Amino acid sequence: MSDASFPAPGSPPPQTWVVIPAYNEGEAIRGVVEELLARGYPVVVVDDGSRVPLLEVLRGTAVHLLRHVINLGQGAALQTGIRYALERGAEVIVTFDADGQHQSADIPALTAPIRAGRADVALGSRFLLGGQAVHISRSKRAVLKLAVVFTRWTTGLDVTDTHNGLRALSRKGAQTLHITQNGMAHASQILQQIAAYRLAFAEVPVTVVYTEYSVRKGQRLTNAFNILWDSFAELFYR
Amino acid sequence: MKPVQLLLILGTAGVLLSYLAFFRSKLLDRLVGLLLVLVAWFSILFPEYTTVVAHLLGVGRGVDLIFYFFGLFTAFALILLYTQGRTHSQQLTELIRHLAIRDALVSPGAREQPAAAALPRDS
Repeated sequence: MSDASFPAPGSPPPQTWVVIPAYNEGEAIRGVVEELLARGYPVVVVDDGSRVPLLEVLRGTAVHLLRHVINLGQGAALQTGIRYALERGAEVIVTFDADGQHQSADIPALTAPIRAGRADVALGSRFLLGGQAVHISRSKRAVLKLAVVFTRWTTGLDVTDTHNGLRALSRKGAQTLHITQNGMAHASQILQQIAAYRLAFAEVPVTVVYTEYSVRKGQRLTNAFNILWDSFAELFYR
Repeated sequence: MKPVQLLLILGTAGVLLSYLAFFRSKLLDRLVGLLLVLVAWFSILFPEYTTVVAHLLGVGRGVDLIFYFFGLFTAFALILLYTQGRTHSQQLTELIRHLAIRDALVSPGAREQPAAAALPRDS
């Protein structure tokens, strides 16, 4: 297997780190982590105050394991992992879901615009030509599309997928973004900040597979209203 | 003095005393608190004067005026509390983040950078 995430021999490998926010993950995360490690990426797992500490599940894997002593939310976990990776000298940071719906094989293509210096943020899109949303429910697709329309309208960004946890950031991009939305509204916040700070961004087609586990672990569609509310409330805290 | 007046005066006095006792607030804040309670006592003892003020503002009864201001004040206090709560949660987030990064568990063998070993051997 040729892995395009690494440049030709001789040039130093880019410092691509993978950050995984995790909360009460059981079955899937170990496999996710092992696959990423096998591909050679340093992996940071942020255990967001899981009831059973993830240390048990991840024992023996070569990860950087951080733990929030209190559950703060996925946005907060991402920001913690990103800051840690930056402190450790990461040049490219990939955010990756713990539930197994993302494909590690997508990372080389996702980070390509960053490594080429064309973008500071690369967003994985399951709706872009070449991307895929496998086993997605019709209602979920509808809500996600609605979120896309809403985001295009509020940020003016020409995006096709707004709530996909698979993203890549350059060091500059990671330093510029500051996620203060601890909950799930961070996805919208990232896009708002891309627009506000005029960060160069690219969308890359990726495959998202909805397994039975990821659907069960994932969000309820009604949470879209909470996200809208959080985004709205944020307007008053500039 | 009607019983209700006595109750209200004792109640407001209690609020003032606990405010002064439990909060190490600025002198100005304490004076404002004291002034508010004095105004409250005055309107409790001479309710007819609140109606005079109400008429000046185009409200029929003093009680109504006080009710309107009560609503306004409550909304203001809620916003203040909400903002404070948010500040606290942001501080808490920073604290928890700091601890998480400080106490990071780095497994033996955890990579600091994409390992050369991950490159194909033949390259």
